[in-house]
Amino acid sequence: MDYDIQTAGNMATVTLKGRFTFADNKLIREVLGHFNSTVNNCTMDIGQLEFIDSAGLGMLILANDTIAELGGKYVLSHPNGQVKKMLELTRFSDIITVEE
Amino acid sequence: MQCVKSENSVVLCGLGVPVKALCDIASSLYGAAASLAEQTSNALILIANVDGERLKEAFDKPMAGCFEVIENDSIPHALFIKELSNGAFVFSFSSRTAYCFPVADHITNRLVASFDLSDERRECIEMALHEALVNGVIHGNLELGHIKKDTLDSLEAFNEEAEKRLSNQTYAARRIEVYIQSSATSIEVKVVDQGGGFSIDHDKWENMPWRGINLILGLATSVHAGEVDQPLTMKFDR
Repeated sequence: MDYDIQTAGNMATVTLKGRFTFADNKLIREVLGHFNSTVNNCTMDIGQLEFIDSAGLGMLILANDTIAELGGKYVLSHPNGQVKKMLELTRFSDIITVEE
Repeated sequence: MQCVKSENSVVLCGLGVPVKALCDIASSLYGAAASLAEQTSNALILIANVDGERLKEAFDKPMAGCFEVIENDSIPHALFIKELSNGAFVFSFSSRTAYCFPVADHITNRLVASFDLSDERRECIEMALHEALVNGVIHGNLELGHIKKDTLDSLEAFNEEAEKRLSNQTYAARRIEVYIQSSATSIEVKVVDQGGGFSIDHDKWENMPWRGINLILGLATSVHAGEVDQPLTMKFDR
């Protein structure tokens, strides 16, 4: 998986690309390293993710928890394909805000 | 890719496997001399020193299955050959290969090429097979228990332990195998690891629909698992 990040004020948009699986734990730590008390709102654009597994979902939950601890808001945006199916199957929007 | 044919017409093709080794394997399996041959759609691909490109090449053509040749473990065993003889698609990889490369993606693409599968079916099978392979490698072959990974530190510790065990040849060389049979109405996918078996204790994971086992239960028409040395068997309606 790859990512890029754009920051504006206290908000950062992280765009994830590729496949998000159990092997990507170091990357998620790197992504979350960009957030702190000053930049504590996160939109994760998952429109370019091709595939996500249960471990990837677990890491999204970790990201949500991290942002919540910083007092910020966490949103997933633009899910599609297999990723959207995965979020629906797991009722992910019960836990995390998902925007189409 | 080099190919050899045994006297019973099974074609073995090698990627990273020398012709002599292919002939030796064919002789061990079928008790007869082998000769050079063209690749056919029912060839069994033998692959060694797996990397992303080589794995992609292996799956690029029609095949009956793929067997990873590992040091000191180069001959497909009886169950694998039995499933192959019964017309199943058969795949056998080391834990390291199944951990590092998108094996479920490759296998599912091969199924789509062979059967008339809708995109929706393809997605279901890939997702369930991926989760089954990951569970089989991590919890079965690497013997890593179900540890809570609810912080970045615990997640990192878990993954470091997984990679440490993958560096240990004893764990890394353990196999994970997939056998797939198709009928007019369903596709049956069996996943066999070398771990101790597990129970589908649905109550334990009830409030976590994103856990791998719950995903498998949600995606497959039926699932059977649990006993040691028995496969996880998933059935999907076509």
